[in-house]
Amino acid sequence: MKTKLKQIYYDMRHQPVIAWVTFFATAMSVFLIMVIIMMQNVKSAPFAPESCRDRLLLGVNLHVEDIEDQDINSSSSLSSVAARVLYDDIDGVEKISYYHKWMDDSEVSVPGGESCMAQLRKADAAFFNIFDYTLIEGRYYTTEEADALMPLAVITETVARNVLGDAPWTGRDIVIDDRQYTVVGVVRDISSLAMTAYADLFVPTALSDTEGDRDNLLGQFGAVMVVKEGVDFSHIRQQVKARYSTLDAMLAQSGMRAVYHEGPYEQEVISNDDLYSNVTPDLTSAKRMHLIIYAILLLVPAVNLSSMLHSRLSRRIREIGIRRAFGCTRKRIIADVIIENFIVTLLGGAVGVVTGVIFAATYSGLYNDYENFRYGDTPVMGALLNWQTVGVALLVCFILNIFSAALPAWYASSLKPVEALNSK
Amino acid sequence: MSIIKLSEINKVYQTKEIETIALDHVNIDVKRGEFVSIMGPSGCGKSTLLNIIGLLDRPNGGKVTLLDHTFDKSSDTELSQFRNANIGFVFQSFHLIPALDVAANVELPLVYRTGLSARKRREKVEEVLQRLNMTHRMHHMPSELSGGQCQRVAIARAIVGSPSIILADEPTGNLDSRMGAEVMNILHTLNKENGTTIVMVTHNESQARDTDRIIRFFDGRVIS
Amino acid sequence: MRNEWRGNIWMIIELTIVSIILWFLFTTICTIVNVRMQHAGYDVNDLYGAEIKVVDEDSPYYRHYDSLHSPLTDRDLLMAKLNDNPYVETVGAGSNILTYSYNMYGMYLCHDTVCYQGNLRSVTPDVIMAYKIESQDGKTSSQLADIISKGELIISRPDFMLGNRYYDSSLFKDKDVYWGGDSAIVRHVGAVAYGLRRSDYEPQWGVIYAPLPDEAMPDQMVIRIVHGKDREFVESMTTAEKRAGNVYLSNLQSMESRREIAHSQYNTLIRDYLVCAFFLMIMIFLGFLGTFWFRTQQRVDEIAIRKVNGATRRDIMRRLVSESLMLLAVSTLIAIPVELLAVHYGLLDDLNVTYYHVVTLTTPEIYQSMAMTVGFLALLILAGIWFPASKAMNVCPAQVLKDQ
Repeated sequence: MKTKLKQIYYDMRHQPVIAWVTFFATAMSVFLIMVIIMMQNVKSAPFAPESCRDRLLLGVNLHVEDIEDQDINSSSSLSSVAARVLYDDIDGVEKISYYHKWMDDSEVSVPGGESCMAQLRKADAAFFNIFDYTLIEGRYYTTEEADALMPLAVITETVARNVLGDAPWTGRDIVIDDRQYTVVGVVRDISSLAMTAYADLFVPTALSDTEGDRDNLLGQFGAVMVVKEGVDFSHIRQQVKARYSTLDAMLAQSGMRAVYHEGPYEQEVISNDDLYSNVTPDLTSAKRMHLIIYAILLLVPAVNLSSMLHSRLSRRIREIGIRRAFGCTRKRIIADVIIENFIVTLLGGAVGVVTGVIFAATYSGLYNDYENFRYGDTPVMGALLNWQTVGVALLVCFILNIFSAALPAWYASSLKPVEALNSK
Repeated sequence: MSIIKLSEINKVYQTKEIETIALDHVNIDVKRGEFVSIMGPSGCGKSTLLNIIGLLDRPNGGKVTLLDHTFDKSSDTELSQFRNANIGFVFQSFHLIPALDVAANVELPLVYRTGLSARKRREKVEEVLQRLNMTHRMHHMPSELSGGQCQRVAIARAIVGSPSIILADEPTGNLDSRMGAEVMNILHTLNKENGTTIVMVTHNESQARDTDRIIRFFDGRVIS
Repeated sequence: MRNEWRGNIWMIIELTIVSIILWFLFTTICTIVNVRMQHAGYDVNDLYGAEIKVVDEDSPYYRHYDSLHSPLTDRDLLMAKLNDNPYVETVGAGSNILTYSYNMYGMYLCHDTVCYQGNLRSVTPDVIMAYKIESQDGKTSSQLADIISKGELIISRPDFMLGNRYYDSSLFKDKDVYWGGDSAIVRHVGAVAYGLRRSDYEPQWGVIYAPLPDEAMPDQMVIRIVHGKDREFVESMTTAEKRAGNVYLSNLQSMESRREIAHSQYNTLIRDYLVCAFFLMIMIFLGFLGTFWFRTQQRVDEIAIRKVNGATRRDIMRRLVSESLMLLAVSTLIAIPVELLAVHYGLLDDLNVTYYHVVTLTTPEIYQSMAMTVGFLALLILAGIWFPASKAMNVCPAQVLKDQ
């Protein structure tokens, strides 16, 4: 191994341009792949307050269509009735919370004061049980308070500071869109990467709250569930699917039926699909797109690296001849070329990973393609760096290495010893 | 008892336009412990002969027998392994690997031998370098050595695996006479003390005369 | 020489792959940029948008009305307040009148057997004036406003056809139409004008401007301010100024900031594609740098001999440049048929960015981006060989031949 490192060092000193090109191309492609993977990772890796992502399911949509003419249809989030029919008491669910799928852009102020915009989420008390926010003052509203729709609010630190000024904030009154609420708790700012848990303000709702219902089945509710450890998502889906017959029975009189779209959805679907209420999420095109991008990011540099390696080896033909004369087998030549190249790839890859992580941690614009303003867009280191990311980086290096070294290694091994020895 | 036996060896190089006969029905027999020199004008097939004995090249016809082995059906891997165990090469232009230091260059044949620990390899390398009086250059790079020193390192590499045959292709061709004499001394010592069989190609008549036997070559044929 | 031939194959393969991908990226970017650059037909500079909200009756802040007042009188009061603001030029209220807002609310108008479908925007004449909407049949904005005042409809001319409902808007111009296909409701189409788009990246949709009845409560407002008075205007809009009785303005933002938010995903996409394009071009640069460096090193003797025989530095440079550009030419010749086939077989239809913007063999963008691809690659190749070439040109023949 030490000999190989020396060999690489010697190479770098004696063929600096080719060595640097190799190194830089490797680092750059690993960097880009890392960044893409991290962009994907923050969408699916668990982090506070969405620490439960691995076991999270969202049931937020309902699609109703005319049995005769499917062009006549409507779809949106659930009414309180539909939410209850579909998601109450499902076997295998550890925790469930009902909340409004969409946040409202709301004006928030102290009574009579200047207002600022913030995003309001209506959620029941169980919401705080599912998502692990960091409470820095006060408490969350209770189930009883939520059921009674009491005018209480949980707000984030930034909103508290902007609207109320200095702490303590709990017990003080705020006006949200012309309704008065009392602040009961203040939580630390929520990462904008938390797709389901994000909000600046939380106020109580419960299934008894029918204000947002558009009709009997469609409304504003969604159900967020955490399944029990070891329970398969399909077990939940089967039960939900079976419950669609209840909805159909309710709709029968109007000649309508409910269309099942493979819900409730897990984090991978939530993060990669727009979750339109009238279509079945399809990840295949998103996945295909990713595969194509990875293939390009690997293949193009691999062609480059391969030709660089070929050049490097062309300079070492005589050496290969000498090694062959002293008993080195063809397989050994192939293995040596690949291993040596792998070390170079790893060196470049390490630089790529480090710059990738630094970049991802400092450039928050990487993730913010939200169509709305959000406070507190701190990327989450934990979600960026985990064994998976490192594993993938290694794998990328390995693939890049095999792609780029296979042909040159074969070329080196197929040299005839005599010709190699006599080469210039 | 012969250690190298070539019978009716043919070697033809063919290009589109011409056919060059490098070896023409060559028969050679070398006994164990013999020191043989091969002489002849440039391009008469001496090096080709050495390459065929060294299993670096295959003849078009005839049979090579080394240490009672024949190689008609041997795979490339088997040839490599045989070379590694039994043959040491010394080249006119030394052929040291520039990226490796002296010790690593000498170690080369041992690297390709299975079942030898790094420590054991190091011991052997040190032993050989000591014998050739090169221990103090152990960690130098080839570019830092004189020609004579390079050839001593090359000889060390050739003998470190204790081969029974050493093939030397004009080992003194790139050296001045003093260094050349020194290298010849080493080869003679090896031949006498270890009983290593040596086949050497040379242009130097007086060096040849010092060996056990001279095989003269002309146009691909043994003439005496 | 054989090695170089082999190396050239690699370069051609790499260039071909990269050409095709770059072409795809550039096509997407060009399409987006061209759609973005097209004439909007209305002006969002110095324009603000806000939502109009009414306090709920069960809110503690609700003020009860006497018989003379209602939310509509509050609305008039609010409009009057805004009109008195020295930094405000025009104020218009309506329903679904904000651009950069994804409202799908549609309506269709039928004449004879054909129907026109469009995004319904309920406007007052002042909305037309605030946006300075231009007509597509030679009318001024104030003439368009008059048409709205008369209670007539204005429709837009869509850039594309979809299904069987987007018919040529001229079929409906100056015609009586059935509102929503209902023969009981007859309206008149008075003009064809540019439609308010929901995003600058969206091509021109069907849009129907219908007069908002005076007794209907508008839910959105646009405010044209005096040019350059943004700061003063925003400062003047205190909570008190934004409110009249139970009616108040919410989420007051400049159209520019609404545009920022609405376009974020396109900006992100363009950014990502540009990064990819940059990466690929860097790869080409590095590839040529490395390969040509190696080649010129291998060919030092040849170059030295050429120099001895009177080749000038320029001749040597020309040789290297023509060699590398030849590689580009070959790969372009392979790439172009592949690209045209991709278009022909509809592989680009998947581009969700070119929303209803179908790419065919007659789409100029695909040829624009072919030219861009070749241009950029040529530049990068030249940059890549510059260093090795200049080193080779400086070869000192005497030194090299002596080394031999």
